[in-house]
Amino acid sequence: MPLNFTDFSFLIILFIGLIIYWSFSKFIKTQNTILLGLCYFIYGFGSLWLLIIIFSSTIFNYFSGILLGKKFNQKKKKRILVLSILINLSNLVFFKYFNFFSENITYLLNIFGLNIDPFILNIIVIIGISFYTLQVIAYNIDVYREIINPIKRFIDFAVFLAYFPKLASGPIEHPKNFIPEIEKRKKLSNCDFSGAIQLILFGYFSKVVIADLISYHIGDFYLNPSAYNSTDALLITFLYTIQIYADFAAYSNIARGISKLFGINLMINFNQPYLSTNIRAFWRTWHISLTEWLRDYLYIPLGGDRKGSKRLQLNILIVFTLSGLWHGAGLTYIIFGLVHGFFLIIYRFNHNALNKWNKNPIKLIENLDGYKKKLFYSCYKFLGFFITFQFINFALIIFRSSDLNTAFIIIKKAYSFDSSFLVHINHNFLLYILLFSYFFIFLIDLIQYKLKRQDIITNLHWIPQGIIYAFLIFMIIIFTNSFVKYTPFIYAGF
Amino acid sequence: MESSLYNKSRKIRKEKYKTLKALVLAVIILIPIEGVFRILEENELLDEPYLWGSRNIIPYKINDCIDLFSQPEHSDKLKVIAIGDSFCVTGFNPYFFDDYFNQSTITYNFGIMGTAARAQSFLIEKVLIPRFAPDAVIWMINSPFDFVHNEETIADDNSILDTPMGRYYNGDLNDMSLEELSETLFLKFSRLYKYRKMFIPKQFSPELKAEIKEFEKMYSRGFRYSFGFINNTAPPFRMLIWEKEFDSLAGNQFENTINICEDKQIIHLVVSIPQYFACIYYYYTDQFFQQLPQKNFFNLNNLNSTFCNNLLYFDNLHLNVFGAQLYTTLVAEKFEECVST
Repeated sequence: MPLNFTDFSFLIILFIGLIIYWSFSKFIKTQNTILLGLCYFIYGFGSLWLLIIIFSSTIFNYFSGILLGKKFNQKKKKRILVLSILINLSNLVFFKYFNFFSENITYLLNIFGLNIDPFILNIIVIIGISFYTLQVIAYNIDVYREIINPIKRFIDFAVFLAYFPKLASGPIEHPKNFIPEIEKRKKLSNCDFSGAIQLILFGYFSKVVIADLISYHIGDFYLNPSAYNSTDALLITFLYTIQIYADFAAYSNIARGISKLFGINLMINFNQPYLSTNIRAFWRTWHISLTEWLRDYLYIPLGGDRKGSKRLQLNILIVFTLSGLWHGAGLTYIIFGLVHGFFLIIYRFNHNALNKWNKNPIKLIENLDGYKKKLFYSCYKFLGFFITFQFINFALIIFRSSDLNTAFIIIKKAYSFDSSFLVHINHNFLLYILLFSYFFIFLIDLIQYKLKRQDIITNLHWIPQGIIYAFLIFMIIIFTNSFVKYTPFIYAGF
Repeated sequence: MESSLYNKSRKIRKEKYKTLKALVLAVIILIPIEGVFRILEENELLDEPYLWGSRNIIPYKINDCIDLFSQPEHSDKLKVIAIGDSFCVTGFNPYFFDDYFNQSTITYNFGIMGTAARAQSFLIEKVLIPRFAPDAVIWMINSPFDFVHNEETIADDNSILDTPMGRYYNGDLNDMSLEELSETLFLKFSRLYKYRKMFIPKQFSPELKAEIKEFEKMYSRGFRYSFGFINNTAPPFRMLIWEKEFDSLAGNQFENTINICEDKQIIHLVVSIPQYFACIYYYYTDQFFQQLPQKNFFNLNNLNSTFCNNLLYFDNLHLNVFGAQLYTTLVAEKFEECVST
């Protein structure tokens, strides 16, 4: 297993790595070589197989990039591109989906009367394969499209692929933004230390204090949902909705923070997604790097919205189904993607219909005067936020459940609104944790939303800054040493 | 262009100094807080339930217990050992118990999270009585309901029957050394879980590693091992391995242990474990406690019990500090009766 952000040994290695890295700040090539060594050490910690696989992928894609950058005729280049995409995808499919497909194909064959045992392989789990495969496909396509030039130095390309802060759970960087970050000369004086500290502390706070606290208390529910009543079940689904955000955003924040310490900027992956007032806005702010990848390399090549409404709906469903499947080899993930696809189609249909009939609420509100305009606008936004949040919560039930049957049980339970609903809470602590986690998550998001920027602390005077840091560190220490135990980052499993 | 770069670099430098000052301030704020916590801890004012017996490492507990009982100021006191699962860990306060008897007793909480009564029985017979020669044993036993058992976990259980864990499940502990039991109890904490791989602690002996190699193929929450410490990554919720099919075996073993205590003239008290969870969902319908010998047995499991009140629990299964105070008082009263008879 690669070293994890929350391992103490990781922090020590990071510290030593930073000292060595910045000691060679005058030599960009040496600096990147040190960075690559650090990446491979952290990623390959405990498993040589991970290194062998990523190294093979690096060699293959380095040369495919070089070939795609040569002045061949378009047809030949296209063939190279298709081949490279196929090989990268087959790599991903083999390591991630082989057993899933084998089991399901056998299941289907058995339905038709052929009694065959599934062919199951004991395949190791390649951490981060979903993330780096998408990134390397984007690289090959961008080189083919001549958006970027292929990376000349092998070391730089290897860092591009194996850069440790983003390797396990992204963000899936745009090659055109990320390559210059690797190739540029990094100066310690330009290193955004303040931003890094803020991101890292916020990240650890979200992970240790919120995500792990929730995980500790709700894990058993998903094993045996029938032992809980309707109110508890609904509370737990809301808790999971916050947990996954706190967990994933924590990873992205820590990754960005650590990366800043190396003088490399990573893209923002979350932009207050739960404050979205519609499902479309949600996908523009949630896991931004994946959404943008799907848009640029799948949705637009499929035709996007240029080929009529039926084709558009099909494209949306294809993109979201594949997005679901990307998360993991399981029917629940596929259904999760499909559900989101349907939500988006419904939203677009509704939006277009209202526009057509001149009933777009925003336009209607804009015609109002004074306080009415403000009031209706706030109500409209709140309603939009509330409905969107319910949709997200519903879809995440399917996402979290181990199988579809469990998902149905949970949905039935959570939305049964039986006689005990809201009257009887068997697990009072769930409510406290809900209030606690929602308070912090929405407080941070609302401040960021109001200030229209993510770095909400660095601009403060040093005294309030210090008090906030003291609070964050205090909470992290308390929760690290408490009964709440560390659970691995959710997205590291994808 | 140059001036904008200069301004950016100036801004970064300014923010850096500001952050450094803020971090220094954070440390200045945190040091006295840490100091206050340490003072509270040293004066045992922070001995909340988790500290009463949270160490699950049996060798550690043994050493700790030896240290406590061997202190000269305790030599004339009645040596009491409380044993049980996580309920005992959080629900029985030895300091409070000793206070009840005006410090004429010295009590050690040997509760080990996640242990089944079978393992506790083994510990009493093979470890506590021979090593510590206690004057009294208070044994808190759990009702054997099986609420997290489904087909998946049963399949998991069946697949490990040949491993030390399997022997533990079957109650076949007699040929197991203390070290093996200790390690097996660690394994049990893995709480088999579908999507996570199990980690085998590195310091296990090569023989044991070979024996439990099968675990590597299984998914569980497992353990983390870092810098010489093993931390189980999951709460020990799955202490329910005392399945109904083993009731008779468990009952026999229970009686054997009680007989040993009687033979050695050790004061013994068996106390049931009340749980709010059981009050809501199971209504204490199991017959197990009714089948046990009623002598020296204190049954708190009924729906009219004070303990069917969620204010006394922090998670419906484990008592909070108030619940523990009440429970310890009731146990102390009953214990007093036992001693007088």
